[in-house]
Amino acid sequence: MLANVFSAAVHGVDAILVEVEVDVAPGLPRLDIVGLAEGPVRESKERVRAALKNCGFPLPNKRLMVNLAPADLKKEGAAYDLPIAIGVLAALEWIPPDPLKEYVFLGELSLDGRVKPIRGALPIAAAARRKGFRGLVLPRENAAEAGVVEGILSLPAGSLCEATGFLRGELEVKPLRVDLKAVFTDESNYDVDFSEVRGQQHVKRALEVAAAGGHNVLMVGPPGSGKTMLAKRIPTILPALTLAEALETSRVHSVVGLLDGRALITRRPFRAPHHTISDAGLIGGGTIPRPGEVSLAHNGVLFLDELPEFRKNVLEVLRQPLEEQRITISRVMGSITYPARCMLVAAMNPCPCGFLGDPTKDCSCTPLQVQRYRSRLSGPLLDRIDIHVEVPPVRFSELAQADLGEPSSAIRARVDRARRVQLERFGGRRLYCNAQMSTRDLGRYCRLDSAGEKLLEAAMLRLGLSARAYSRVLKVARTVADLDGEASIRPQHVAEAVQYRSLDRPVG
Amino acid sequence: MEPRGLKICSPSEWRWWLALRAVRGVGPVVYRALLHAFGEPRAVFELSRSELECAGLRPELAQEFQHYSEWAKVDEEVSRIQRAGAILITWNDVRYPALLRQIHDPPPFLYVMGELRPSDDLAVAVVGSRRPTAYGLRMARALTTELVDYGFTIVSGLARGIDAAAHWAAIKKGGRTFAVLGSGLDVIYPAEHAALFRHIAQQGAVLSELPFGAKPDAENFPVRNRIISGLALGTLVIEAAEKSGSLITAYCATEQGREVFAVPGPVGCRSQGCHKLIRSGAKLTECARDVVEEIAPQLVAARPAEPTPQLSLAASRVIELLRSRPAHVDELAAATGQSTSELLALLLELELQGVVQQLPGKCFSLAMVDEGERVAKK
Repeated sequence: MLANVFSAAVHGVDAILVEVEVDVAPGLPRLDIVGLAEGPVRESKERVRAALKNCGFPLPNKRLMVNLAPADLKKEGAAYDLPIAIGVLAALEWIPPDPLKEYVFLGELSLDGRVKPIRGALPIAAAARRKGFRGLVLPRENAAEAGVVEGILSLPAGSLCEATGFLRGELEVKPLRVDLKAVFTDESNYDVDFSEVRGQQHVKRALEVAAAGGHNVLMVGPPGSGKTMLAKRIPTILPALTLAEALETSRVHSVVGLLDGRALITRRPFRAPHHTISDAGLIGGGTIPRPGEVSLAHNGVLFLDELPEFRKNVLEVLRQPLEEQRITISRVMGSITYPARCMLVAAMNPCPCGFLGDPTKDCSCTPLQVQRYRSRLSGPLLDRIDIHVEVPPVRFSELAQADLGEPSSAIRARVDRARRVQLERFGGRRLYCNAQMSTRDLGRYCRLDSAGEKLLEAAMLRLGLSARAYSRVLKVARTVADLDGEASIRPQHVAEAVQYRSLDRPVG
Repeated sequence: MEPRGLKICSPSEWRWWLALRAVRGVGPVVYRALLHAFGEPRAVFELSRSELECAGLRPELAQEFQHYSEWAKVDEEVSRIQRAGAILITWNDVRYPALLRQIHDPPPFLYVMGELRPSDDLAVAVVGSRRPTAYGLRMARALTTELVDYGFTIVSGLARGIDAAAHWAAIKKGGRTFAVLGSGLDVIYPAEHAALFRHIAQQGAVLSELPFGAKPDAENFPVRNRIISGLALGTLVIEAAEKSGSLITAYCATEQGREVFAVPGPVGCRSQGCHKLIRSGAKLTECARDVVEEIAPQLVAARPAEPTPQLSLAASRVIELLRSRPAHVDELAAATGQSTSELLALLLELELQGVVQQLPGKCFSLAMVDEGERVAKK
């Protein structure tokens, strides 16, 4: 007899339904899988056979044929184990065929029949609801993420026996519901806080401006000056994640299998890949493209420490996602778009030895070496970084100070206010912060009075600022004015913005 | 040792001077002995072998002169000098610096780009660290500016750091300055000082005793230093480490009977050499007056008044704080009680006025790199 079971394949941050057809026919005893099954899926038949046997369903001496439709879509991953096993049991009439139409099945099987976690449960749940399914039968570990989607039941199955028991009506499985509000309030607090950073007043101010305008930041400072510590705390002063944003980010994490049993990502992600990362690792890739660090940092912070140490081609591929806030990966089989709206926070030493400008240690680099080190960052990349901030080494006296700095919540309140001003200004347009303004928007929103213009002109000329600094200064000045609650940009706002362009000054 | 008569040496005579150095067996000492014995190199080549031997030359050396045949090479160098717009100033030339002629081992001739004037005998050498602190640069600039006001020509070595700061300060002030190179005149080292080189050639001269194409090898510099000190009445040392080229220049000055001046610095920070000099008798120098007092007889000059720019209260507070040492923007904020953003705006204003200067690491100091330098760098 023939049985149909539904499962799904992850495609980008979406899912496509896959129909698992199982046919039983007389013939030599074997189990075949067709339908563009990639490695893990091809091996699925061995796992299914063993799992069935160990759960007390020995396969009869018949020929079993499994087809995964649509047949022209490549299937990968081990999530088809459970639907294939269910299909086999239905084809052999060990379970009734009717309930199968209402559920989507996902899960990897171990040889003893336990169901193991899979990737992409969240997008699959969303796709299944759109198609009108009643519920998902999926591994316990993934039940929470699927439970976030309303209008579909998330039924955790710990083992193949539980799943069959449920389908035969012998066992009741309680659907898992996630209370989004509770998850948000419980888990949206961060473990770190800006109050733990002593001193570094002007760096904190620069990061506040960056967070308020969504500007990318480059921190330049000697080793041990606390660049990483500061970067880790940037998510805490960004506006709180909205539910829509949380779902977008969770989808990406679900596809890569990084949710770890949590229902949702409720804090802004902070991703800090090592500088040996490949371009595919950073922006996503593979024959069946998977999202990279840029997408995992969606709605959060992507931190690149030791920026000049990253391979040149890796930094260059970063340009497109930074500009378009999404990344399209094209392969022969088609192209996939992942979201990548992250704030880039980079850090570097001021020179190869790291001590240029350090008041206590001597720098041993020549101006030429410094120039060469900095030239590893291409102009177009620096173009996308609005704020450069120099982080001084922390003196012991400051570390020993008893009083704490300003807490993140206070800074975040100011950032929130500035963001509201920006949203109001951009109205219904698809802009949500100053950093996204195009050249045309600059003319509209960043007009300077004559004093401001004179100041900017003098600064460009006298400090040797490069031309690319011009539009960056305007954008940052707009943000500084927004933080001040001023409608127009005043000269002191321009002046502060000019101070955040230290790498545009000539070296030496 | 004095030449037998001063003249203006024409390019046609240069070949003899260049050839004499090219002869095998003639080093600086023999060259000087020959000049002493025969007055001019030309005579050495024109005399017969027996006449040379009679004058006391070793026969082998006398033979070398007779057989010298590389005149094409020498003439090529003469035309190279002329093409570059340089001149050769020989020991018996009236334009040869009188002070330099007095030292015991003056170079027989100098390659010169620019102009040497009799008034340039009133010269002070300013030398120091190639990696100075903001304090050192400020002192170099301030002292040089004052010395130029007194009418001194500033001699230095075109190196990075103090040397460059002194050259630039003299140029900015419209004074005269000499750079003595440790390489040929066509090899500018460090290369980024090409613009400085041009300015010096216009407002003074660039000098070298080394032939065109000579590389800036390490062994050239100690030898070069005797020319720097030899050209000047006194040598002012700013920020010299315990072992540094500036100290060699100072010792050359002592040997040549010239004055040595040293600017003190903070203890344990790049000024150990200066302090050592002061301990062994160099004059502790805080302002140009200290220099002038030692070499006063030659001078009559008046000091011009310093202009005072108009500043706001907050700005003058910041300048007061920066007077002692450079400070980080956070320190300034804490000391003045201003918010970081106000202070950043104020500092930019002061920077644009040329009052303060931004150092790497968002530290600020009083301006020490002057405008002329900045414009010329581009």
